[in-house]
Amino acid sequence: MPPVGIDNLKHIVVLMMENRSFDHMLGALKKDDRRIDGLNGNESNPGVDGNPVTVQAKADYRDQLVHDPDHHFPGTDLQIFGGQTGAGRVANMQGFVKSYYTQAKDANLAKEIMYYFTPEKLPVLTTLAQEFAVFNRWFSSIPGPTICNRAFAHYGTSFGQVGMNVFYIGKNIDSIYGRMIQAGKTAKIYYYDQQSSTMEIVNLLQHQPEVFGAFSQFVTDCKIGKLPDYSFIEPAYNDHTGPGGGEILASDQHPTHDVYEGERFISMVYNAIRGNDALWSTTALLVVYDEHGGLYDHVIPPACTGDGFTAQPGDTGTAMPFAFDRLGVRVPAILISPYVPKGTVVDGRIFEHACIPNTITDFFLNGDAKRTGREAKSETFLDLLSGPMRTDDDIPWFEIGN
Amino acid sequence: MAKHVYVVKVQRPHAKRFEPDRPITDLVRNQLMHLSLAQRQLDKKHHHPADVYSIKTDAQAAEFIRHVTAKLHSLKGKAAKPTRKAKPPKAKPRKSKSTTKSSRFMQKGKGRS
Repeated sequence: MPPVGIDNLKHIVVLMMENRSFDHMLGALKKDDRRIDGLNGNESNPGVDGNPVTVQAKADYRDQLVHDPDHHFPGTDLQIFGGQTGAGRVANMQGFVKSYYTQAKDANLAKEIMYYFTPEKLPVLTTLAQEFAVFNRWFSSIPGPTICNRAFAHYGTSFGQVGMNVFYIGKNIDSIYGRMIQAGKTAKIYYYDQQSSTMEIVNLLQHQPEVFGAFSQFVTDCKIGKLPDYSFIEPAYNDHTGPGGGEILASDQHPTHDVYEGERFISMVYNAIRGNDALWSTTALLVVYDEHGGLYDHVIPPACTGDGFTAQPGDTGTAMPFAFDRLGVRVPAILISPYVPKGTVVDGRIFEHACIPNTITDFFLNGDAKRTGREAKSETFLDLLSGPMRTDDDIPWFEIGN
Repeated sequence: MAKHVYVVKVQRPHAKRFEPDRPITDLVRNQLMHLSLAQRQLDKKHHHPADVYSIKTDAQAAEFIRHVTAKLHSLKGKAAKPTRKAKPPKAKPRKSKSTTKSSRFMQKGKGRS
């Protein structure tokens, strides 16, 4: 018999943020909960002078990482393998400072790549991680940048892309939105507003613009109980003037955007669901990051089932092909629902962005959709809705200042 | 809605710093390129006047992104670039072929990488 949480489940919402690693955002939580595979405080990377650069709790909301850390395939390869090349090399997560130095060109600035946040600086993400289910092993799908990683969240594959190309040649797997709509279900991508728009589904925006809505509509849909079966939310990607002349700050937490704005945005998404009791009791919210943004993490990414594609050396930029058989760097991921027992730490299981369409397809479509072998074999996460429904006094509400 | 018991207060730790003149990130630059390619499928009269390569700041990017996104929404693939101004005469496979090619492009999402 399925857990009560799954029996009652009607909506799944995914919020995907930008470019921060697990250790950078949640590593400090290990100090108070040893089950969380975060930082001991003595992890290090060799600096440009060969001396170790240790992790430090000095991450701040802004004015750091002014040179956007490299998170493209070759840069991430350097970070994971420490500069080793060729067959037989062993991942060691020792190339982060080396990698960032190539951009910052300053040994002191290069150390920022090893900074992490104290929990007090991230009250929203910290509270959610401690109150609900935090994943010790959620990895970006590819050791590479945003677009191809987000593609895994939408299609379960990036169609052989390891970079920022969005036009998938020979696309033969439908997006999760297409699968849902064809099956008579509802699905929507809520981008922040038209000035920020969507980051990667330009194909979809061209041909099925009705799949898209603005974040203000998400808030309304939550209030009136009209949320679709599946929702994907994108934060604001730039600073711009909103309708009515208001100042809209980027909330995606991509360096060098203000991390606090991202905290605020995460709380707004959470509160929108939490504020409608009927919706709250029937919704699971996943907050996840697309990739590590070049920031340090200590966990070596594991191998994975290939998805049938291979990127050639000319595309990877590393003189080696890539068979999509190794995951990217670890990212923060938190599953939120009143049926998730307090303080759940998900360990011993490997998750990546293909788990998102896999979970949606399994739950709403009984697994009946064409998808890659990798997606079909990936984990699903709704079994974590395993407890009885938690009471209101046991569930946080965020009062966030402007 | 019931009053919440377990409240987490999150005070803004610093003044807002609105930076619309901030240089765009690589991510936004890529987004501009993608939207620029999508825009090419629309009739020129729907294009944003800016050269996408001249866009340097968040504010400039936001305006371009807004324009193209709004057009893609409102036109819903209907305003494909025409191959001729006049309505083509019937039973001319050449004209049908070019229309079909752009339709095929639109439907399968193929484009230049």
